[in-house]
Amino acid sequence: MDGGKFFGAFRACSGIKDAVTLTHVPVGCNWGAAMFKSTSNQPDIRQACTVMHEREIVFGGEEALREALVRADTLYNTPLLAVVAGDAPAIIGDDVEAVIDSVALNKEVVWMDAAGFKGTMREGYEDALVHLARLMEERNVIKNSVNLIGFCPDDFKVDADIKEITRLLNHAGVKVNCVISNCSFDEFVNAPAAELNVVMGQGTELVEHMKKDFGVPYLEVGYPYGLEGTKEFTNTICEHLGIGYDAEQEFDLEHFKRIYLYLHELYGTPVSVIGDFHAEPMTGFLDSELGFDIEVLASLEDDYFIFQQNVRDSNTTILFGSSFERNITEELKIPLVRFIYPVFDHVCVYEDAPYAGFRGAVYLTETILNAVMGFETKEIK
Amino acid sequence: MMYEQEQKLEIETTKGNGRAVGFLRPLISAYSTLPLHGMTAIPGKISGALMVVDSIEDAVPLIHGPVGCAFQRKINPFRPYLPFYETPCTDMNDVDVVYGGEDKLSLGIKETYEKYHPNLIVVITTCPSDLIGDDFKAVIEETKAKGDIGCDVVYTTGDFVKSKPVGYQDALYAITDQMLCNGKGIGMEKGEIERNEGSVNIITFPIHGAGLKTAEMASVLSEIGIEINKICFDHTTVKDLYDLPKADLTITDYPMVWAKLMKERFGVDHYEILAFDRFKETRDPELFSPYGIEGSARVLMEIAQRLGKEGEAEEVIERRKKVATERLSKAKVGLDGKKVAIMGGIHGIGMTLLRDVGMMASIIIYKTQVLESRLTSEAINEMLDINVKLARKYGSDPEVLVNPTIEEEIKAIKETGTDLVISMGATAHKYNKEGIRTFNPMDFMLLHQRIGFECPIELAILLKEALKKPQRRNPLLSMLKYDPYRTNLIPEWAALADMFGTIRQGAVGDKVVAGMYGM
Repeated sequence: MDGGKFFGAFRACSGIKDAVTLTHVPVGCNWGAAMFKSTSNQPDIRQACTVMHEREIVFGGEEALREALVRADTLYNTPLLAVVAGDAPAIIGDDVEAVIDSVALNKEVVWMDAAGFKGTMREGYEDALVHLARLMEERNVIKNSVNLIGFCPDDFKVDADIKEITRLLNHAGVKVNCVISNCSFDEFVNAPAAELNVVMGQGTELVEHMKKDFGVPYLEVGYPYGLEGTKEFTNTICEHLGIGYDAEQEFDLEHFKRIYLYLHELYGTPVSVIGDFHAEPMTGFLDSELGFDIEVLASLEDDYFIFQQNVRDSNTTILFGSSFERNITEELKIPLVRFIYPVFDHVCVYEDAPYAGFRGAVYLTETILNAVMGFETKEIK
Repeated sequence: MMYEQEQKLEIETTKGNGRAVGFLRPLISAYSTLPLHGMTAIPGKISGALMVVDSIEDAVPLIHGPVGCAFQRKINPFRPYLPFYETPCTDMNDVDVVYGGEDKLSLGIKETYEKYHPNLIVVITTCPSDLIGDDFKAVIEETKAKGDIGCDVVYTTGDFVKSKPVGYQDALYAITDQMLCNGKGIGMEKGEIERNEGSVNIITFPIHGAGLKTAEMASVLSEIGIEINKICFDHTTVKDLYDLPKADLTITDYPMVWAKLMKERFGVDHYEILAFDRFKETRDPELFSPYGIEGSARVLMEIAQRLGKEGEAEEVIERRKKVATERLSKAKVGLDGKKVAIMGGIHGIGMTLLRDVGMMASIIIYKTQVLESRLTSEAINEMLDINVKLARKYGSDPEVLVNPTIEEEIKAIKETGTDLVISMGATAHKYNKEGIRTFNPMDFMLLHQRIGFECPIELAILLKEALKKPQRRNPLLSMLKYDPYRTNLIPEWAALADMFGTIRQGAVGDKVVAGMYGM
């Protein structure tokens, strides 16, 4: 199920780590955004809301927005207020821009119309980043540097994955200039200093914009899952930067050797995968490297009811997805490996346990094995 | 349930502090302490309505709005680890917002019926569909008139009632009004209903585990000769809902608008365990203390009186009380005179229960910061008085601390020789660090606190276990920095609470004179 434009914009904005996201919405939208975001990084709750209520619906939400802007400006010591306006102000016609222009604030303010009915989560993410891009400034290019684009701060394993990807690139001689959207305000402003934008799955409108405005070229790559996926990811970037490097030299099969008997057993296991742009690279790893048979591969835009039916009708014995898939896996009595947003029934706080990169391949394999070996069904009992 | 079964239940539920619910117990506690509800966010009407639909086994919601509304409301505010899995949605887009979403609603109803084959579809409207003025009633009637929909369909907007929680109250009202009063089930005219004379419905909040919480009450009422018509929400089906009007009385935890409608339409009277309405008139604090031996006896007698069974009730209640009191006298050995510090408010372990187990309230701690944006000072003061009045009535003379820092609390606890602090998990570590034992009331409230005579016995067992726990711990949590006043919040959350509380106060405009009972 797609999260809609509001969620996409909220996730993009909340990835500016020292910004406050002010949601101009009724309480329910604000609550949902907070709940999904607070699972694995609870102090990171830089969020304010205009708490639109009946009065605002009837008389307009502009006064509530004005008050919230002033209060957020006073309360939070941050460089940026990102105002994300949802469905209600879009329908009643609040003039958000005029309100923002009418108050003197100590922070930069960027706003976006992110009414949920106006698009998908991906579109909200893209739109928000383009709005935020007006904060970017021309910079001298830092040689062999890249921006990594496509992340959200509440992606499962995001911090661990970024740490591993950064380690890999640094090892290859590539500097990570900015990770979008999981960076500071300054890093975001300085993003045009990168020699290359590397976009994974989403953020394509931003990189087009940056190419046009700042001349930063871009490269679209798959999310680096598995040994081959990681090698291709790293080598492709290095090739574009003119760095002679082959990531295969980092292959370390020792960890897989330690569990090779289990991997024999799992070879040919029928599995299904559902997800956003992470799903295809994950499927590549499962299929090509672990030797799993892919029964169903579905995207978030697909009809979820049909996806569930397809999984029921298949031989699936492990499902890869999000917390939303817990129901179907409980019904089918099969393990669920969570890897995509939203995950709200598992936490990931340790930054050295990624799913991406070479180390991620090891940890992901370990997770899959443990999910299977620790799984109990009534039949086994 | 027979009395022997109740005793078995007691053993099962008290063993290991509620281990009978297995792995869920720590999860319930973990999520219950998320400092979100009311302080930093409010889930809104859709969540409340979804909770109602989720608790009806053969009902399915249909969210009439953009897909994001269905996506984000999948999280159940009271059980975030168990989402609302089925949230079909009409997926409104900008075209629908301009030209109306009625066609999509009709299609959504049809598809939802074809996919899920439920006995009830509850259409939950959202901001966009509410604002553009879709005629939900007409769409439902027209769609059903085509003959493709073989189930009841109702809609909830949040506008039918003004009582809180809005989504929860409104959905139940909608089901009563549109389905029970006008649906296709049993005869809908008052005169046509086959009454289950002298019977009652027992209704609890869907998160409370109705079967567990109502078993003893149902047992006592049955022994009095009062038949149990329905217990909700406990594996409740649409058929069960249709049977609700057969009863003579509906017992709810607190005032419910739908129960009042049942009285208007079907003549089914209603009784509220937490008697907000009567408190307004009498200001009797006992009305907020329905638990414990005397509180339960009062409630059970009042129910019996409503049904003209007070004569039968007297003997049953006295006998049950006697048996329970004898068992309690053994169970509470070692607790008599022990001093406890409690958190004031209308939620939490009631003073009557503490009296039953022989403990004295040495300190009452009030945290009013969260309430200040929602209640007037008059209402807050009245709430403060309730616990103090009851404590004094039962022979304690507690020291009252209003919005103390943790250091002030610790100092008072040590000076008064307090043995135990009744404290949620979010703050227990602060006391344990100082060598003060704590008792987490959340498990007790969720799994044990109920109308019945066994409840104080279970509390006594749990409190004795708490007094045996290590006195001093060095919890990792105590190394974190917390807000000095909202001692369960780290500074980041305290800032969020400040922001939300202030804005909400101005926006919602529902600051009430006596909000805690301002239904």
